[in-house]
Amino acid sequence: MKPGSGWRLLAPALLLLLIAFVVPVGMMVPTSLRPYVPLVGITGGFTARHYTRLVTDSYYLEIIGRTLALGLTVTCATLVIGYPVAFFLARTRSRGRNWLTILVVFPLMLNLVVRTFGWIALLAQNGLVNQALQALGVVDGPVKLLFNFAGLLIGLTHIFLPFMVLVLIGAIQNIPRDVEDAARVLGASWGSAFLRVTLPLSAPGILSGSILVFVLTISALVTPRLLGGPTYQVMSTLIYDEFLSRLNWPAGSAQSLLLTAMVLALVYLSGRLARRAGAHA
Amino acid sequence: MAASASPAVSGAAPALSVRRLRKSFGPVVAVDDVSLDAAPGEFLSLLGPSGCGKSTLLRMIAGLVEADGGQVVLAGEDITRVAVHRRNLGLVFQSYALFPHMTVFENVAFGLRRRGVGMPELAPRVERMLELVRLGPLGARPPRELSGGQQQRVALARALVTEPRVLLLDEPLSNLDALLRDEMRVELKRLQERLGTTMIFVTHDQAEALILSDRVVVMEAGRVEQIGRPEEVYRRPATAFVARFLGRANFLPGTVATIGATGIVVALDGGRLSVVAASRPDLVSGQPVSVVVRQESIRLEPAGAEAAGPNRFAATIVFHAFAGQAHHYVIQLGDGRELEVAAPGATPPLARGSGTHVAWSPEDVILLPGGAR
Repeated sequence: MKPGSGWRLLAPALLLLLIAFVVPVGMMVPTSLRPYVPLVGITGGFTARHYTRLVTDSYYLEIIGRTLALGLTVTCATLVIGYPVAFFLARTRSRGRNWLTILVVFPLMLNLVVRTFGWIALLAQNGLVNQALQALGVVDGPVKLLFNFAGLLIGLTHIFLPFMVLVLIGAIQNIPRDVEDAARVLGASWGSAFLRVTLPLSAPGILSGSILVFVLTISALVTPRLLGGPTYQVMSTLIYDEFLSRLNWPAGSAQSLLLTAMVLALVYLSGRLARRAGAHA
Repeated sequence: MAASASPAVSGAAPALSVRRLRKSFGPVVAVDDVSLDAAPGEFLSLLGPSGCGKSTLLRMIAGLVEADGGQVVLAGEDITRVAVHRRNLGLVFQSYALFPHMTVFENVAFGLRRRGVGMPELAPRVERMLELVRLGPLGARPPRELSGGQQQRVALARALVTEPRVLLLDEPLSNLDALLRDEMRVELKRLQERLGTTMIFVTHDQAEALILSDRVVVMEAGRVEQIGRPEEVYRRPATAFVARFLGRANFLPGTVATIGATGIVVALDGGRLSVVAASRPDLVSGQPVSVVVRQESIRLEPAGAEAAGPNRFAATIVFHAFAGQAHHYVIQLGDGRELEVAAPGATPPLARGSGTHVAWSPEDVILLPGGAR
């Protein structure tokens, strides 16, 4: 490749990134520092109030904490459910393999709203899940599964599971079978070979799958809005309301910038972690 | 199938026996009723083209592939149903299969740790093994910083440090370039002689098998074609496949004409020439046979020389190429038949188109009953 041709190849993507990401986010910075007067709107002047409120007001702190907790639990849930599926799909030689992969990806082909309404029907007070739990005698009365953490966790885990599985399949397929076989011939039981060889070698996939699911979860809007209702807020629904219901653009901008900063920090840290792991692997 | 052990190791109970082992993958029979013994300290090669079942056989011995039938017996103990990690075997892969997330030291220590060997004993054993494969100072490095040859030596050390009862090697030298491969061959053979480990070595390279082995098992299509010492399989191949697979040879179809005390005369198809072979008891007159003559068994003699003898024919050189150790010729006999001849590289070359005589001794003629396949 000639020197400089790399830039030319990257130019369209960089331009798109500039127009669709850097400029809008940059434009939010001055907005977020403007005072907002209810019934009047954005006024002149300068204030850091929108930021200080985010980190001091318990209402906002709870939402931020809830968003991060949700991201973490959804990530763990998709990892725990997804790893065995991905391992099977990466290792099986059966003919059902392609069909199973399609089955994993299939939810992605359905409209997000349709899928989420499906969960509302299932998780409602009188929904299928509650009926089944009561019929089996697991619980006495209906369990609240909607408009709370459990509902969001179930819905988001389902929606982001395919991403985790697809990333993990790639990572596990990259581990040579010979390496696992070598561990077993050397005296490691299947479980020991898995823990000492397969799992550490799939760490890059676990890391990138986790980052992907975490970032998607904390920035998801439609599912938290539908499964959380108007009152159970996460950061993205809060931002949505701030901009479109309360018309408080400065506060919305500050919240957006915080969410963006959290995502960027996470991506940066994971990149460093991956490089550090790569230096050992 | 007379499995004659090499003199040094005969008599002892086999270190490893394979009894009527079978394996199919769907409709494909990969290993078909294979039996063989490896004597303690023996270097046994499984030689055959790719897809002949040699690797599957090795993996069944290791326990990585489950046998459909038959037995694997290790030092008298039936291990056919024993789990892979309890077999105490060593296995070296063509791909090295080192653990990329561990240092060289940890790679070698892996097997010892699985056996619960504690640090005071473990470190010196790993160090000693690394010294043995001449990797002493490289213990702290990750495998990817090592060359291919060094990586394969790590794999060898890793497999040998646990003192396995049998070491299995699956084309361990095939990923190395030619020069390094020759070096590693010598190193492997020396290591084996020094440690006395029984080794089962899978290869598709006939030269490698001949150089390294006490005995060679030639396989084709899941079956054993012949088991024997390198000289046996090379000089007295049991089948046309073995004759073709080991070394270059000329195949001349013919019919047994006369059987005498001094030798067997075979009339070659086409009717004009006949070849004399050393006598052997199992052939009858009129039987179709294939006369096999190795290219290096054929001597080229100057056209003028009038030495008489059997298997001496006038010929014309139709092709010549120099390959360092040898001159490769294609010569044409009086009846139009072409033969490949290899002459020592130090001899002066003969020009294309020049006349010569070719000759070979009856002892160098291989007769295969039933004609060439």
